[in-house]
Amino acid sequence: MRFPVTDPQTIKLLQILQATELVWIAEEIEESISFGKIVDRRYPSREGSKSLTNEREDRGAEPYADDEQRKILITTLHSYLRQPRAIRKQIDDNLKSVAGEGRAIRLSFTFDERQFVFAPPAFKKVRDRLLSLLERVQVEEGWRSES
Amino acid sequence: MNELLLSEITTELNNLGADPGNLAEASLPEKLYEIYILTCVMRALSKIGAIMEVRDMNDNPTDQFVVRLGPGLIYSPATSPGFIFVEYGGQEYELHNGMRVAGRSKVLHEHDVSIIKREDAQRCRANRVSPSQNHCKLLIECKFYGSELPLHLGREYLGLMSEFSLRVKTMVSNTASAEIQKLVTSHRGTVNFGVKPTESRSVEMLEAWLAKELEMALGR
Repeated sequence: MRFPVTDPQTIKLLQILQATELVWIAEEIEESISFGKIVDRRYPSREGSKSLTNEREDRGAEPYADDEQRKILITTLHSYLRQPRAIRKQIDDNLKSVAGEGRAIRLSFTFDERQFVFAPPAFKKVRDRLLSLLERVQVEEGWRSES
Repeated sequence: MNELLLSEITTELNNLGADPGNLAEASLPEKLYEIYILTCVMRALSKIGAIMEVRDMNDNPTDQFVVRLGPGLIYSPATSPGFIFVEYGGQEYELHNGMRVAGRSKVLHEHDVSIIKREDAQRCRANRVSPSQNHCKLLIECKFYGSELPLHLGREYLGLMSEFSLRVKTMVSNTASAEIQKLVTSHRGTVNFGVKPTESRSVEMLEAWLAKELEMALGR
C-alpha cells in the first residue's frame, strides 16, 4: 500500500519542485512519504496459542502525519542544499591528509566540473537564503536546536 | 509552518528551480558522495601503512585524480579514468570508483568503490575484459539520500552481496534506515549509515572498520 501526500504545504512545495529540474528531489520525497512509517503493533494472541503472554507483536506501516510529511520535505531539501558543499570540502581535506608532505592530489572529472564543483554565484545566493529559511522552520518546529 | 515563512520558501524554491546549479541532476551529489567515501578508504589504507599513488588511465603516475560520472569498464579509454595504486604487505592493488565487475553469475555490476588485485587489473586491461568477483577485495555500495533510504535499496544490496563472496563489503550512506539495517544484518551483511562530514563519529567508525577489515583482507 502506498500512502498519498496529504499535507497542503508539502503538496504546494512539491509542485514547485515538480515543475523544474529538481523533480528528482520531489520524487524522492514522495516516495519516502508513500512508504509510510513502520510501527510495531501489539494485539491479542489467538485462543489456544502457546505464547506465554496474551499478546503478540508484529510490524505494520501507517501514513505519516501532516507535520511529519513537512519534516521529510524540509529535511530532504536541507540535506541536498547543505551536504554536497561540505562533502566537496572534506574530499579535498581527505586527499590532503593522505597525499603526504610536499605532495598534492588534484581531483578532476570527465564531465562538466564547473557546474559540478563551482556553483555559480546566483545559485549560491539562493541556496544560502533557502538554507537559512529551512533552518528557521526546523528550529520553529522543534526539529533541531538553534545553533 | 507559518504562512510568511511558507511564502518566502516558495519564492526561493522557484528561484532555485530556475537555476539549480549542481543539483540539476541526481547523479551529481551521488557521485560526489562516492568520491568522498573513496577518500575515506584512502584514509583507512593510510592508517594501516599502505602506500598509495594516483595513476592515470594509462597507468602512469600523476597528481591528478580523474573520475567519471557514470559506470565504466577497466579497459575502456573512453570511460576508464584514473585509479589509486595501492601497495600493502608486499602486495599490489588498485582502488577504483564506478567500475563494472562481474559477479558469480558473470553479470556485470557497477561497484561504487572497489579494490582489486593489481595483477588481475593489469591482465583485464591487457585482455579487454572486466574483473570478476574473485579479483575483488573490497566492495562499497554508496547511497546519498536526502531522506530515509527506501527499502528497495536494501533488497538490491542483498542481491549484490549474493553475487560477490568477498569478505569486505558494505553499504554506506549519509542517511539511514532501520529496516535496511535489520534486513542486511540478518543476512550477515554490514551497513555503515549516517556517514557524512558533519558526523565525525560515524566517519571515524567507518574508517576504523575499513582499516581493520582491509588489514585482514589485504595482509594475506
